[in-house]
Amino acid sequence: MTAVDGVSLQVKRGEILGLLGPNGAGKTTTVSMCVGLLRPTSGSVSIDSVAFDSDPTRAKRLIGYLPDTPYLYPKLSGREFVTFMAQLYGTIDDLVRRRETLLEHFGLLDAADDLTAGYSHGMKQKTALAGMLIHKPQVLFLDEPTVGLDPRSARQLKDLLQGSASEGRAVVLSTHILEIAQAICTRIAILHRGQIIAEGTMDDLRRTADAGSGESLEDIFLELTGEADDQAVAGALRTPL
Amino acid sequence: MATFRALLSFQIRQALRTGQKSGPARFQPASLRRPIIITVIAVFVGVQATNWAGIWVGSHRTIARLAVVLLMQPILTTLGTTAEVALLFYAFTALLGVFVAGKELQLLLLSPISPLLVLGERILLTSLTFSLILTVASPALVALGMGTGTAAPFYPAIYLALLLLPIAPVSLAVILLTGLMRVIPPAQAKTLSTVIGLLVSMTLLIGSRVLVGGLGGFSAQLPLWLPTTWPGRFLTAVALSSPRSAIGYGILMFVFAAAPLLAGTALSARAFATGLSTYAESPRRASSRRARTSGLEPKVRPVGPVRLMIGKDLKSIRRDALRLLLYVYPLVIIGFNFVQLLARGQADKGLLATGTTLILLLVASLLLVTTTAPAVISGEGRCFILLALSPISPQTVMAAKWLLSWLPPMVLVEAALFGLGAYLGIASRDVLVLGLLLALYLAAQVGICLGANLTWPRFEQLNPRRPSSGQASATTLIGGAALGAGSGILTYVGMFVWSGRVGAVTVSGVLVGLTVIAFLAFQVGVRQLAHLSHSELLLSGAS
Repeated sequence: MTAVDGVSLQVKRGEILGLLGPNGAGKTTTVSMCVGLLRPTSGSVSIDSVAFDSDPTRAKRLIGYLPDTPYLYPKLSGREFVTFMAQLYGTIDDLVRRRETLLEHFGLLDAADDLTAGYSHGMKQKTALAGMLIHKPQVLFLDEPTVGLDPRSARQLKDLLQGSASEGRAVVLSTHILEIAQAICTRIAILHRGQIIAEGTMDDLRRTADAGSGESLEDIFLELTGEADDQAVAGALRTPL
Repeated sequence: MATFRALLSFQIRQALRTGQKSGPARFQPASLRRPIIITVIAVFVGVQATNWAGIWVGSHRTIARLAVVLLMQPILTTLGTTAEVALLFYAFTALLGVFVAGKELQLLLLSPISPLLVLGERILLTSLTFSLILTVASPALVALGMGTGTAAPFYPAIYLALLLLPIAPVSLAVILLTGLMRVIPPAQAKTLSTVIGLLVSMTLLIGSRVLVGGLGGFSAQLPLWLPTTWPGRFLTAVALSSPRSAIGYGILMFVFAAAPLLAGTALSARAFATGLSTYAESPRRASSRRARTSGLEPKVRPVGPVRLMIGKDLKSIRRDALRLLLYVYPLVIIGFNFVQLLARGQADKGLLATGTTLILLLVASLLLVTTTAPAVISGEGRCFILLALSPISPQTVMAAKWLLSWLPPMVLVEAALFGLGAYLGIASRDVLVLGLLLALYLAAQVGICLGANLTWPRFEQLNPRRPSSGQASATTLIGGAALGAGSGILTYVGMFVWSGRVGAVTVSGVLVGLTVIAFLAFQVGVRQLAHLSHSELLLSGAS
């Protein structure tokens, strides 16, 4: 089975690229290849001109990845986990101040010495996020980062991603939540059945979908992925039996 | 009844699809390959045992009849009691999976089916699973019957007893679990039950050896009123063709199964109806599980990646009662064997003592590595993703995992060797050679174990007593045993039979061979680790 076919993407510094697509479109596979977790059968991935194939160690130092499920060591505290992540990447300069700032930013200071096994999903997600950011990566990859976050934390995350982009980092955000993509992404790529069917700014996507200026990303997405018929089905379901 | 049948059929369909990870739902013959092979081997061994036992006992029919009267009842009652006690603790852990980890139970309890039916079906199905496991013992019982020429009803009675025997312990485990979950959260109940289970199994193991040694087999008679003896007494009565006793014990056996089943079903249904199931969703009280850190450190010192990962793992082990127990369990068994050896050590001095010590230490090494090293891989679990994403090389990760698995057993086994060597008066030159042999054997053994566990990893930690997958356990055990037997025999023969130049060359060859195997196993581990880092296995959530 071919999960992803002929995908070519470029994300510049200061950009937030939204990777959208229906379930099974190949978003997670694409991100996994970009961060070096999966090897593409053909093609290559370069981070800041460093090719993964030739110098994976250097490429890995440049990226931060937040998977859709937060992976934490259950018997380490949140503070210990973030410290461990910084030490793993060898970035210990000014570590204590940076760590405490991140923990405070995500509202984790009170629980920072608790074992992560006892954290709620949202707390785990925020701890993983702090662990991802502690080594100051230049490119951020986030797979469904807002799942399990409360509205305040989701807002903080959006601000953080926009802040990161304005500081010159590149951000790749894979999500199902089209409102978030429309609100913060500078460019959007829509994946469908393993191929990119549209890419560009909102205006570019409108042109591709022959949509009017008032149409939302949701309308464009459904039009492009051939799921506009689903709206008719949903309408029929709303009709009283 | 139709609902009950539907529930059972749903469970059986799920069981038949074990191992299927994706694709259209269908019967998967491949998933049944292992159980079928095991069953075929068990039946083959059982039939052979039946055949030989029948020939042997049948040739002494008068003695055999006497044996039925004198031995069958004590054997069957003791076996029945042991099985029921063991099943009580195994069922406790198995039911935790059903009640706590299995979200599907909550789904069924939300449906308009009576909780009594749902939970009754779960208890019976768990019990039926144990009955199927116990049938492995049936050929031995059939052999006993054939050999002693017992009446024909004895044979179906065996399967009736095996069918009813697990119901009581499983139901009692449900009652205990329901009570325990009333006072402590399920996550802690799981830890507590596993700790209790391990302690009891250790006690049973040591206790049984002391009992068998001290009482000379099954001569002890268990009291009549003990319900766990009733299946054994029922079978004995059937074997001796005493219908009155058979019917009496049969009724008692049935009552001992039915009463706990009804009580367990009613109690658990009531507990779930009053909201006990919501405990499974509540997070652990954070304040009670704080990591012991002494405030904020002013500065974090740089640490090498190997030391960093070993430090992280040691911290995790120290805070995890279940993983600590993995170290304690083999220590108790080894300690017990050492005490036994020391108790008769004065009489065994000399070459025999050296040989016995060598065998004991090789077995101890194998036991320690097979118990503790797999947890070093499964303990990392899906957090391997974090290591795969980091700029740390697979060689570094493997070196950290290898050192963590090699150092503790190596220190322990070397300490035991030097201690025993001094006590038994083994020459210091021999102790040094054996010490080097053990260190290298452990190095190779750890490499094999880690390589196997990285090839067939088990990342789900539902059962912490089984951190290794079946394939990894078998590879480690067979590889370790073959390596231990080969190197042990060659070293012993080289040192004491072919002493001089031939002996020295042999022993040196063994040491070089072990070094090469350790190096190759390390490289295999590194390769598997690199493969795992890019494997969909890590990303897909499959084990």
